[in-house]
Amino acid sequence: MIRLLHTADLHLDAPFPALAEQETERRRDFLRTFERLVTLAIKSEVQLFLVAGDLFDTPQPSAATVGQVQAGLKRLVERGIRPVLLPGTHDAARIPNSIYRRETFPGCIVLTEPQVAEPLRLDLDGTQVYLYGFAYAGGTSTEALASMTRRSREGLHIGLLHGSRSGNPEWSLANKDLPFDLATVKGWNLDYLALGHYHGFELLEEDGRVLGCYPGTPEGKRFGENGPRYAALVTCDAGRTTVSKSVVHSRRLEERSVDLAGCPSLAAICQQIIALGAPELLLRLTLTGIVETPLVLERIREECRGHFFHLELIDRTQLFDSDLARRLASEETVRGLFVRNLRTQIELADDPRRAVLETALREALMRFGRYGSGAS
Amino acid sequence: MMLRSLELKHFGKFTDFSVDFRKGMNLVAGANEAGKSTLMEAIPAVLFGVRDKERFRPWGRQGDCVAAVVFEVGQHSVRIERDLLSDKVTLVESDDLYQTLYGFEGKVAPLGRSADRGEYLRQLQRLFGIAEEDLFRTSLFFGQGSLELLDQGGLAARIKAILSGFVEVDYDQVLQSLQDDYFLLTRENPWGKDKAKERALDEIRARLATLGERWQAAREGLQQHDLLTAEQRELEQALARDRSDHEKGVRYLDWVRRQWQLEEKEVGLKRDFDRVQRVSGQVGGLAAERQELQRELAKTGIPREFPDDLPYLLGDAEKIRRQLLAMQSDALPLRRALHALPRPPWQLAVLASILLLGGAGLFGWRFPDRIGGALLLGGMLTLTAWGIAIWRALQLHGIRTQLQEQLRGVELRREEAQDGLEELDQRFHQLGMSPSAVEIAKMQKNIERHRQLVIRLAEIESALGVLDQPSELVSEQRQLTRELVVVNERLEQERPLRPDLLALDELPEAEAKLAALGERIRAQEQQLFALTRRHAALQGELVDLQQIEDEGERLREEELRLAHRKEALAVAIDLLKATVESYRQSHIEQFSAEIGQHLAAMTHGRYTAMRLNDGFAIELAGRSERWHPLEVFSRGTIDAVYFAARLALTKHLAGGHLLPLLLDDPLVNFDKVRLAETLRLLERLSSEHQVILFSHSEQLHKRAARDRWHVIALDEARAAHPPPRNDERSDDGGQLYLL
Repeated sequence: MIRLLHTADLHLDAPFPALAEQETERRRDFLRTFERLVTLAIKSEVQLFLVAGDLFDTPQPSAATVGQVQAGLKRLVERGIRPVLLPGTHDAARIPNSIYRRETFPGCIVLTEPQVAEPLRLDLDGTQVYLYGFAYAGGTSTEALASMTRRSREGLHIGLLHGSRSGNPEWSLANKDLPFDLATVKGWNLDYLALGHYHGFELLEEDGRVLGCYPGTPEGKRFGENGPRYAALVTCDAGRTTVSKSVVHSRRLEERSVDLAGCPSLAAICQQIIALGAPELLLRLTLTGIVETPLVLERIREECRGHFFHLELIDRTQLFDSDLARRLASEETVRGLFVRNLRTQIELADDPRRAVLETALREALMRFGRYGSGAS
Repeated sequence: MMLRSLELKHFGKFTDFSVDFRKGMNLVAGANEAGKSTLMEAIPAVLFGVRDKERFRPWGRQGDCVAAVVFEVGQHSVRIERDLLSDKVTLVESDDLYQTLYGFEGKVAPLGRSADRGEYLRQLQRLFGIAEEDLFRTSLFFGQGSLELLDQGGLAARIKAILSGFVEVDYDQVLQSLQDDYFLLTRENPWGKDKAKERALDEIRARLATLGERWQAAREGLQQHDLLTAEQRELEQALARDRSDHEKGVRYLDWVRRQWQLEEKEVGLKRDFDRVQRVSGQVGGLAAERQELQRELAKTGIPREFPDDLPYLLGDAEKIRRQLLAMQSDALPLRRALHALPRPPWQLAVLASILLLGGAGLFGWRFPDRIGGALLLGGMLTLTAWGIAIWRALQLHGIRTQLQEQLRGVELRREEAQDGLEELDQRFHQLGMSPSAVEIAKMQKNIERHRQLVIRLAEIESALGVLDQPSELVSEQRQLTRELVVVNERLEQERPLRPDLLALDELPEAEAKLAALGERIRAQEQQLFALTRRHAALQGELVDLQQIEDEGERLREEELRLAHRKEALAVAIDLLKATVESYRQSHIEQFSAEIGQHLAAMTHGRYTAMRLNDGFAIELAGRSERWHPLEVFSRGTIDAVYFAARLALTKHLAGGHLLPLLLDDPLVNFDKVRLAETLRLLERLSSEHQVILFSHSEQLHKRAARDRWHVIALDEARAAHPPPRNDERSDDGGQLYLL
C-alpha cells in the first residue's frame, strides 16, 4: 500500500490582466497554494507527490517562481517524498527552453519521454511501484496512449496523464488535447491514473472501483472554477484505491447574481452587493432586475472596493421596463419616441437581440442621465 | 393650472415662510440676495427633491428642512410637501370642498427606484404632465438671462434640445456622443466612409488575426515538427535497419566468400592430397620396385658393384670347380674302393677264439677227464683261426695302401685346385660375395640379369631422386590431411546453415547490392543529418500554442464584449436617427402650428405662420407670404417667437397642461423698449398661464404697481411674519399683480 498526493493544473505564473493591480497578489496566491500542497503532502505522510501537468502556466516561468517550486520540491525530497512531474499543455516540454529542459529538479522524477517505453520502477518502502507517463508532444497520440498499458502483474501501477476525457463536463468547452475515454483507461488496467488538464474535480469510477481522478485546479484560475478547490489524497493498494479530497485553495472564486429591483439608490445597490463580500473572494456578479437608472459600474466598483479581493460586474439589469423608461415613453419628445420605439423592438426581439437592444437603451439613457441631470 | 402657494420651513434663508400666488402676473420683488432664487428653486426642490441635501439646509441647524407647494389644478388643489433631508413626501389632492381625493405619503429620492417614487412620479405626470425635473426646468423655468440666448442659433439649439427631451444637449449631441463612443470601438462606419485609424475593436480583431496567424504558424510549426520528428524517427529506424542489414549482408557475404574459399581450399587440398597420394604411390611403387630389384639383385648374389674381372674370376672359379669336380669324380671310385675294402676279420677271430675256448672249457667241465685234449684241440683251432685272420689282414692292408696312394695323388691335385679356389674365394669374399660354387654358378648365370637390374635400378633411383622423399610426402600428406579435416569440419559445421548457399557467380551481384545498400545508408545518413538540423532549427522556432490560445481566448472575450457594445451603439445610433426622422415628420408640423397659435396670440395676429427648418431654425412668413429667417425680424418679434416656442414646448411636453411660468429676472438686461414689449407679451400670456416673475428691478416694481400685478415684496414678506394674506385672491382672475 502506498499513499500519494495528486494535484495538477497549478498554473503558476499565470497572467491575470483583468485583476490589474491585484495581479501580483493573485500570482502569489498560486504559489501559496503550491506551498500548501507541499505541506499537506508532508503532513499526510505520502510517499509520492504527483503533478499531472501544467505545474506552470507557461513553458518559461519566472526564475523566482521556479526557485520557489524547486525549494518546495526539495522540502518534499528531504522528507523522503518523491515528486513526480509531468509536463502538460501549458508547460509543454517540447518547447525550446522549456522549463523541463532548462532546469533540473533534483530528486524529482520528470516524465519527459514522448512514450512509455518501460514503466519507471520505484521501490517505496518495499512496495514495487511502476510509473507510467509521457509528455504529450501533440499530433497523433494513439501509440503514446497505448504505451500506458500495464506491463506486469505484480506491484502497483500508477499512471500520470494530462489529457481530455470525453464525457467530462469540460469536454465540450475546452480544448480536446490528447483525447481518451473511460474504456481506454479501463483497458490500461492501472491501479490509479492521475489525471490533469480539466479543471474540475472528477473521480473516474466503475462498479465502485476507482480508476483515476482529475483533482482539478488547486486554485481557481478563472471563473467557473468556483468554490473550494481540492487536491486528491490517494491510498493505493492492489485492487483497492481510495481517493479523498482535501481543500487547498488560497482564495475562492464565485459566480453569483443579484437582483437589484427595488434598490432605491446606488448606496442601497452597493449595500446589497457588499453584503456578499468577503476579503478573499473573487466574485463575478451578474446584476439583474429592473433598475430605475442606468448603472454606472465604475461607481459601484469604486463603492465596493475593499470588500472583495476582486469584483467583476456584469450588467444584465433591465431598463426597458423601468419606471423611467415608462415615463420617458410617454413624453412627446425625441427621447420619448426613441424609448417607445426601443421598447417595441425589445418586446419583439429574441434573446440575443434583446441583450443588444437593452445595452442600446442603457447607452442612450446613460447619456440622457449624464446630460440631463446636470441642469439644476 | 396655477401655483397657489409656497411654504418653506428651515429652508435656506427662510425659517418659516409662506407665500401665495395669484393667477395672471405675479412679481416676487426683492433686492439681490433676498432669496428670490431660493424661492424659485424651492419649487423643483419640492417636486423632485435635491441631490445635495446640504443645499437648502440652514446654516448650523439640525433637524428638518421642509418645503411645500400648493397647486390648483382645475377645481382641485394639490399640496405637495417634502422634507428635503429625508425626502419624505406627502401629496394630497383635494376637491374644492377640501375632501381628500388622493393621498400619497412616502419616500421619494431624487434618483433611484422604489415603488413610492414610481407612484409619486406617476401622480406628477398625471397632474402636471411633467415628471422630469429636467423637463420641468426646461419648459417653465426661465433662468436669469435665459432670454439672452435669443439669437437664431441659440433658439434653434434650445428648441432642438427641448424637443429631444434633454436640457443641455440635443439629440445630435447624444448622437454625437454615441457615435464618438462607437468610433472609439471601431473604424467601421455603416453610415459613411470608414475611419482610417484602427480603433479598439479593430485593434483587437487585428491582434486576433495576427494571433490566429501566429497560432496557425505555431500549429503548422508544431505539426511540421511532429512530422519531422516522426520522419526522423522513421529514418533512424530505417537507417538502423539498413545498417543492420548491411552489416548482416557484409557478414553473410564474408561468410559466403569464406565458404567458397573453404570449398576452394578443400578442393585444392584434395588436389594436393591426391597429388601427394599419387606421388607417394609412385614413390611407393618405385621403392617397392627398387626393393624388388634389390632383392632380385641380391638374389643374383652379385653385389651391385663388382670389379670388371669378375666374369674372369667366375670363369676361373668355374674351371677350378670343374677340375675339382673331375678330381672328385676321380677320387670317388678310389674312395669307394677304399671304403669297400673289408675290415680285417678281427671280430670273427675273437668270436671264434671265445667260442672255441668256451666250448673247450664247457667240454672240459663236463668231461673233466678229457680236458687236456679238448684244450689242446681248442687251442689248435684258435690258432688256426688267428692265422687266417692275420693273413686276411695283411692282404687288405696292401690293397688299402695302394688305394691310399692313388687317393693321395688326387688329393694333392685337389688341394691345389682348392687353393686356387680359395684364392678366388678370397677375392669373392673381398667383393662380398658368397664364394659358393652354386652362387658363382648362379652369378655366372645372373650376371646379365644383374646388369639389367642395375640399369633399371639406376633408372628408378634417378626417378626417386627427382620425386619427393617419402618422409616429406608423408609429413605433407599428414599436414594436408589435418588441414582437410579442419576444413571439412568447418564445412560440416556450417553445412546446415547453408542449405542454399549463394552461388559463387551470384556473389558479385550480391556485393553490388550490398554496396548500393551502403550507398543508401550514406545518403540516409546525410538526409538524417539535414533532417536533424532542420528539426533543431524548427524546434528553436516553436512557440507555446497554449499561450496563444489563452491570449486568443482573452481577446475573443474582449472582442465579444466590444462587439456587443458596438452593435448596441450602432442600434442606438440608428434608432435615434430614425426616431429623429420620424419625430420630425410626425411632430414638428404640429409643434410649428402650436407656436404659430401662441405667436398669433402674442402679436395680435400679426404673425401667424412659422415653420421650423431642418436645423430647427424658425422661419416666419412675412407679409409677402415668403419665409424669412428669424434674424431679419425685430427684437420684439424674436422675443415673441421665443416665448411662443417655449409655451408651445411646455404645452407640448406637459401634454396640454398650462403650467405656470417661472421667470428669474430674465429681463434684467433689456432696454426700455424691449422690456416694455416683453412685458406686454407676458401680460398677454398671463391670461392663459400664470406668470411668476422674480426680480429686483424698481422699474418692474413700478410697472407691477401700475398694472396691478400680484406683488410679493420679499423683504417685507420675510419681515412680516407670518406673511400677509392677500384678500384679493378671489377676484384677481386674469389680472397681473405687482408688488
